[in-house]
Amino acid sequence: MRQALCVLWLASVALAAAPPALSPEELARVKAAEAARVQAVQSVYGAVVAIYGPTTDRGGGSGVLFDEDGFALTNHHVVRAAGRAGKAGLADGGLYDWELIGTDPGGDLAVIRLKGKPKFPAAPLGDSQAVHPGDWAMAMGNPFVLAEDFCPTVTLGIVSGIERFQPGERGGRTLVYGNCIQFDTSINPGNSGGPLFSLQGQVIGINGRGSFEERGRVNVGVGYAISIEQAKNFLAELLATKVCQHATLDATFQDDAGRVTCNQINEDSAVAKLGLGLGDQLIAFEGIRIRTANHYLNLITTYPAEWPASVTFRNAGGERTVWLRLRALPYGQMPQRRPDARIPMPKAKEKEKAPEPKEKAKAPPRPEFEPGKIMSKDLNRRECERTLRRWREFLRNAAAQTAPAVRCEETVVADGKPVGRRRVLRAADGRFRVDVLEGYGDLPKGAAWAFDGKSFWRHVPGEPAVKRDQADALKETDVALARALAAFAQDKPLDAFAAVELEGGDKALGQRAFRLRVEDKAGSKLLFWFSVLDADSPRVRLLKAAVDSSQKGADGAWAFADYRPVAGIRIPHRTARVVGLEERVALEFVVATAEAVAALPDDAFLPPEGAK
Amino acid sequence: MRTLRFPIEQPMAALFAICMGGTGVPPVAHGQDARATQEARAPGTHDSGAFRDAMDYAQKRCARLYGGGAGREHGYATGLLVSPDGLILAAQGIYLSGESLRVVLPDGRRFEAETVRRSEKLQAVLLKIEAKTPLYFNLAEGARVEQGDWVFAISNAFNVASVEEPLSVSLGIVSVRAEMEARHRTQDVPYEGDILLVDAITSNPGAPGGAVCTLEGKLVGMIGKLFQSVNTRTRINYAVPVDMLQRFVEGKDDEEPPAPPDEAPPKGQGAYVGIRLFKLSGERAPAYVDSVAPGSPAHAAGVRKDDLVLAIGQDVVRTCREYEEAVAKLKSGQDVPFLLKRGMTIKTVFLTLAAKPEKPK
Repeated sequence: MRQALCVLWLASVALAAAPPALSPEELARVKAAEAARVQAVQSVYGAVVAIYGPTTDRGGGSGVLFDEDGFALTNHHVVRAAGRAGKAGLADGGLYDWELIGTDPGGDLAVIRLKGKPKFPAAPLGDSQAVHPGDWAMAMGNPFVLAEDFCPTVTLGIVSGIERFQPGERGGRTLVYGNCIQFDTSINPGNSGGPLFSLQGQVIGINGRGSFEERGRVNVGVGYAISIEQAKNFLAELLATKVCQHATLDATFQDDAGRVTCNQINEDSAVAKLGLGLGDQLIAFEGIRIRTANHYLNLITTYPAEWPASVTFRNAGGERTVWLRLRALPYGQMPQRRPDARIPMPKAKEKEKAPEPKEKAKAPPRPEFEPGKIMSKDLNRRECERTLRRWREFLRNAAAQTAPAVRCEETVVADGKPVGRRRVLRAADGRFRVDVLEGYGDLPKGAAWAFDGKSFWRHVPGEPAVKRDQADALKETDVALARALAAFAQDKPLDAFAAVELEGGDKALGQRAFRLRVEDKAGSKLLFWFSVLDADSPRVRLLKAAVDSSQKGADGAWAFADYRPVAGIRIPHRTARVVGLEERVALEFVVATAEAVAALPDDAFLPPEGAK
Repeated sequence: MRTLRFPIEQPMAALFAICMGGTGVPPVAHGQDARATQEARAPGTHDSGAFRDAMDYAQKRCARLYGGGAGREHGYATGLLVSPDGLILAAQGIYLSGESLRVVLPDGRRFEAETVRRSEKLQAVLLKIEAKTPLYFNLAEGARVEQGDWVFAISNAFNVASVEEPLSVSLGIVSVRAEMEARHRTQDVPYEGDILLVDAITSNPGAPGGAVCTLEGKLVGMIGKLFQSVNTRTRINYAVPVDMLQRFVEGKDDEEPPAPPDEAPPKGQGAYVGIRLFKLSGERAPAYVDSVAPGSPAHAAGVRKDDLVLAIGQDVVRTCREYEEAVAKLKSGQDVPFLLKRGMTIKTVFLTLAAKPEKPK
């Protein structure tokens, strides 16, 4: 009673001391801000997925479509409960089939693909590195599996903290949330796998966990989202249909009087062989200055195994930066039981259960996940097709017709200085010819080499001519590369090869990349790095190419940059020979002039007279 | 400390800042449009989140506390720096009963804290560390808030933030300023005075002692000890108002007349006994005396802590509820026999009942 009186009393005071009314201009701006928020919600509303198992009556989780082809991000623990396939509801009211593409037990991420629509709505992936405590954070999903029309629930709160670390389930290495976003936006069981949006409607994280305690698994204002940067690091791995593994440096670090020092190291590891030892100070990881041991742990948690990383450390020998591929952190025994901290899939309401109690729907068998393995060669191949289709779309730049060949004059650059010139003729069918106009390196002026479709020849003045026919010609690296690149530009590129596989994620030219391995019919094995889908553009660019070896490009690769359209096709205006994981540029070719060649003369690819 | 960096003064302006924050107004670089954009955003705001500056301000004035834990009670909490010489306000809790109490300041410095004094009324404690703390909340400059005002809470909830990380922040509004009857697990809590009910969730382990601030960064109150409402048995998200904190820190709260210890306001003439019962497990518990108010009729008659009340007048008292029912029938000026069990003996004392004192405002 007293409390009620108090409320009334306060209310009257509030009325008496009412703040000045908004001016019409202020009101208009407030309304505009609200309208902008509503608009942001509307723009991504259709991309939020309600994920179920084989039937919709056994609980569910959430997800978010990030690709018009129906690909959606969700949590590993959602698909672990739901199985390898199931049903997915969208705000359009439709119920679609989904299948599992790839999953990451360590970072609690998974990618599924929805089927049954030529083009799905997709939400743009944002930049979680720009997220700051105090930023607005919108969550969408299907809490308590309450939406019977599959329309997502929207909640709004703020980012409570960033760079949080939440250990794995039962102290293990699965479902670890490193460098994650903490927020006070309400999430509840069923929100798992759903998106955390910025107020602009960009995905900044994947919700999946909360701090609960003794009050049961309901929102207490402390939720966690996997940062979208981590999701991007794993996207290529997931799309390759892998069961992802996380990275380890084979060394651990501690805080030591303001420094971060190595306190455990595997003496047989790559990093030990590169010079890191006990007590050495960690300065930077992947170019990021390390503040604390926890900061480092946060970062390494977000990278996949085999990631090419840079590590800067300081010891008696001074400060050094080394590059190495991170090894896979073994999972050990993978837990099958539901952990306490995650948001479980809530049980469906009583009334929604199957009407005939005798025919109880069986729970889907829990999928077994074998770490590091590509789960489906077929789905992996389809992803290769998709990547190459997008590469083709980028390459052709929507041009209906492309020239049969492009001729470029290139300046050869070494150590930042021009050292030579050459002319390159590339035909769309893979034929090419290079003429050295000004000598560089070992190549004198007048040197030339070419592939005319059947044979490969090389002519260096003063040296015996080289000529290879048929199968031998195709095995020449330059020829294999040129032919592969030409095939990629065709409508059915995969037919040209004996084998094509998306090996997974990698880094090329400092960017996240898909790494494709192709084996052509002559037996040449090549690697190609394509940029991972951009948030604002579903196009991919070829970043790098190399002959396949155990070094995976570190023993030498060709890098491509500065794409510009020439007669309806995009040509890289900078090509470089790069060496090592740090991609040190050995030699660079910069296009000075480029022109389309409308008609190729018959002798375009023939060797000069007398070069037999 | 005298002037805050946040020029927003009007509640409406603050609300406006909230609405404008992060609406995706594109940054415009030049000329008229740039000014218009500047105006469209409240001062001190960023692209997204209108209150970063205020949060940064408050972060620098909150400390982490680590002490003893026991069972379900956590060994960590939050504290507010309230003076330039190391005074820290915090909530009472099990963590204080550890062998030592460690304080980690926002700049990473660590100290052991001594207890200066405790307030039972506010369930608060004043701590002291031997350090200069030039960044602190000036309690005299605390903000008065009204129902519906936006506030944010900063705390070490769940001990999520490791030492070098900023504390957790959450956003809400002031729901009401009201009195509260509180309990923690099975025990009633002798909190006296108003609370500021907020709709940000603050009732999490480690959060007590955290700051509740306006969007300008002015202190509104301190997240209090974890309580449940006696009525609803749900956790209360609240702050101890800054004016009450100020009185406690200045040592002025003792000057107030003591509040009547009786919980149930007596009906009828409202006789005053001066006994507070020990309610370990609710109203069915036997009526053991927890405390006797100094100068009260019970005190004059020699009632002591830990006495068990067996009967009042003709009424047998088996439970706390029956005690309250019996007391409710009493009238001031009466001489009433109280039958007590003290240790292994039974004795009768006579209380000359007084009128119920005025409840202090």
